[in-house]
Amino acid sequence: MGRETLSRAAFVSVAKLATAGGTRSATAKAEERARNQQGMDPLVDPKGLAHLGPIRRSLPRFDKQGNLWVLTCGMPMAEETLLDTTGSMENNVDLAFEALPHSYEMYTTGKAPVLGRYDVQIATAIFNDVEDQDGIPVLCRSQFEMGEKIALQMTKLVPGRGGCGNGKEDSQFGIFGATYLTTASINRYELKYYHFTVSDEPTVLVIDPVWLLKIFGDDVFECIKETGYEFDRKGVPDTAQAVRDLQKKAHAFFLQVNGRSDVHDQWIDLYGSDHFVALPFGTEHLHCVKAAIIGLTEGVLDLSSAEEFLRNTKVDGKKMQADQAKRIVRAVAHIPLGAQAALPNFGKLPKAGDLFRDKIDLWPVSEEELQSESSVTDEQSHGGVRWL
Amino acid sequence: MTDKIYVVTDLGPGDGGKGGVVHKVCKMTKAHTVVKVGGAQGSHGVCTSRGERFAFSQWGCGTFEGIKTYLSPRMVISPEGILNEADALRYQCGVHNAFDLLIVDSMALCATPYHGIASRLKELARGKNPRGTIGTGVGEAHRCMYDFPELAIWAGELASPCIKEQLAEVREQIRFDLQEIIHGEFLKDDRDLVNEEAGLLNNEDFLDFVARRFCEVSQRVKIVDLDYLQREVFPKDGVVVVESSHGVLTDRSYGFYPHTSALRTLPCFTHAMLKDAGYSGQIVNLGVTRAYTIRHGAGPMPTAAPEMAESLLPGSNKDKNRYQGKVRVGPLDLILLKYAIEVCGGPSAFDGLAITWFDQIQTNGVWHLCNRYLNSDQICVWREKFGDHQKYQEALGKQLFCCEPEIRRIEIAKTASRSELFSLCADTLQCELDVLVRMVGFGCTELDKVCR
Repeated sequence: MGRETLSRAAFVSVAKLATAGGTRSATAKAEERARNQQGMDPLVDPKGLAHLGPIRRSLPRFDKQGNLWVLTCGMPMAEETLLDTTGSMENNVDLAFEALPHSYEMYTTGKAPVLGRYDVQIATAIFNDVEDQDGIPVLCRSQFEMGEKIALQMTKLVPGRGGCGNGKEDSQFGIFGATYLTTASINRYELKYYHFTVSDEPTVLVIDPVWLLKIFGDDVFECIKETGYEFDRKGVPDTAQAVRDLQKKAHAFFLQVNGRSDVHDQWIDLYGSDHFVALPFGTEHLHCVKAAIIGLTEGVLDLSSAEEFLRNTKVDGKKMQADQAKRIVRAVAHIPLGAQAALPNFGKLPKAGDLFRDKIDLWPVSEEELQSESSVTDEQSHGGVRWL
Repeated sequence: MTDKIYVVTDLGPGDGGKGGVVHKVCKMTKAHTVVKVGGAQGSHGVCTSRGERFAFSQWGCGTFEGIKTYLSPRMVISPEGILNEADALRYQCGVHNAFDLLIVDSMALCATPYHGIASRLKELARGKNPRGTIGTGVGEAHRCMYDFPELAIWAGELASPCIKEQLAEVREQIRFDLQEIIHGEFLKDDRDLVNEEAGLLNNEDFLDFVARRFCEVSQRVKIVDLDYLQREVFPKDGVVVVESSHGVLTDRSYGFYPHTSALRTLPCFTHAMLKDAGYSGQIVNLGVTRAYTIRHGAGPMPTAAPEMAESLLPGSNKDKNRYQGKVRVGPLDLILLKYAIEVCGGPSAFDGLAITWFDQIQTNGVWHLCNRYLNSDQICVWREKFGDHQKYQEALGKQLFCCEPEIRRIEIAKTASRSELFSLCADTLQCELDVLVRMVGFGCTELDKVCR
């Protein structure tokens, strides 16, 4: 239900308000709220309020049309980015926020949008360190959104800007959430959504159940059942297992900032070398790297067209330089090309405008079925059962 | 042209299963609009055969079917609750266009968070003698409207540039009213709650927040004039369903004082609203009750049977909150059911009954009913034109607290078909209540509700 998508105008209006006309960070208000011990906005609090809960859902949008349901914007494709916001990574939300309109356009518009046929639904998560003080949350995680709320919820994230210099950051909880507290309807078609973790630090390999309860709420082990998993606090998977489980339902990549070898080694062990990407420009142009990865995975781009695609991307109002595009393509060239396109239902996916008998049906009503039934319009469709 | 309107009324103190019944009727008849009357204090649960589950407070129970909801002028809304419910519908259930499905009458009264605080503080001040409240402030807002009409905030005023000042005035009045209460006696365990609530009353940031939220509602919700029913709803072909909140046994006048709601949702008020809007088509009055008695919150319940809690509400009977207390269940009280029917105008006022949760009776293999109190006269509806009606209702309530029910057992074959069980249920209740049973629920989804 609903048809809204992200427009530049909507983004500008959110940005204007959040940054006070460009004079402060987009997350300034959220950071102030956290400093005042008022916590996170419930929409980005991993545990949510009672009326939301910790699961993030990417669900299709339907409108009622006569007796049928019309898929308004194509099948949802979830994309979540888990950003490190500690230490030198502290500006990542602002960078991602500024790049959001570009990023969204690369996904959805232009000659070769990499996710053009889908209803793109974006969530942003950020992680800090469990030792952070002053109301800094270990994890913030937005909902999957598709319009101006993508931007709006980014402004509610609370970057830590610290990190404690303890040799690691706590990204493992974000990976846990992405894996065990996410439902994405694209998985019903045995296709995968996209998940990116961005950091310059090692992670913690054991996921502490006490922190899970603190971050996701007391009912976290009950909630994971809805996503098809079952374990209690004694059986919490470690980070490696969580990544393996994530990769079963998502094209999950680790994007490394800077080139520290210990970081490189740990994350390659976790994600596999084909899902590990060393960012050529740090988090600058991150959105271009993500779009290139998605395009190559979807089979919308190949290595040569990817370069052209990137060169058509505007950076600071200008087209990206050829060598920049080349470096990005080189950085992602080793990923499994066409991995999504190779999945069996890739070509059969319902599209925007398809009619469904019921909202939970996997496949739309066929042309033959539609023709064999009397055409139903809104005006004619009231003929329900006469009762009493 | 709309040619049929179903008016769904809970014949108990609430929790009768209206949500599922409204959803069933909506889906079966392909209703085009749900009209809500009463207040946003309750939650009407819907489980669909598609697997959707939600407790609706402001949106109607046809929402999952894409059916629009009109919050009528007989509804007390919670603007803050509307935003929360929209978020929950969006993120839990994939209803991304919830605001496209909601129309609010400009004359719907708004409950503010300050009314909620007042309601909860007053209940906390009652200590161990609760009146029973959900604590959302819906009833409090309604009472305030009578006492201080100039402070009432109507949906049509949500967009007013003075909304913050209006809220501040409401807050000021409530602060004044609560002065003594806040400094009075409370149960030791309630002290933290009291401090938290009182803190919000004095928090300027909270006032700003509430004002912003009210303003946001005005921008997102379609607010319409009084003629909306006549102009937009009735000209549409098909069916309308009127979904009312709480139940007859907590009616302000005919409930058992003081355990009553401030609001009134008897079918006669809905009929008057429909007639005033020019509707002259068929009205189908449907009374709803569970197959057993349930009461959430304080108030008389002669058939309360704690030993049946686990068998009638397996797994969920321990749910408890400070304001509603622990849920109570027991045998179906036919005396109170007859009373509720009489309050609405007698058996002829209903075209049918919907009996919900009969599956639990089937599972238990026995149906307990009460059609007589051993130590009490009849429970009669007040018919006098003069006299102290409230005092009468209070006395009735006290009488009910002392009633000893005579319980009748009906054995249920666990292997009986739904058709056989429907007949058993219908025959039993028709004989006692003189109203036809037209729907029996054998589970939570619309497919589990059998209609005749």
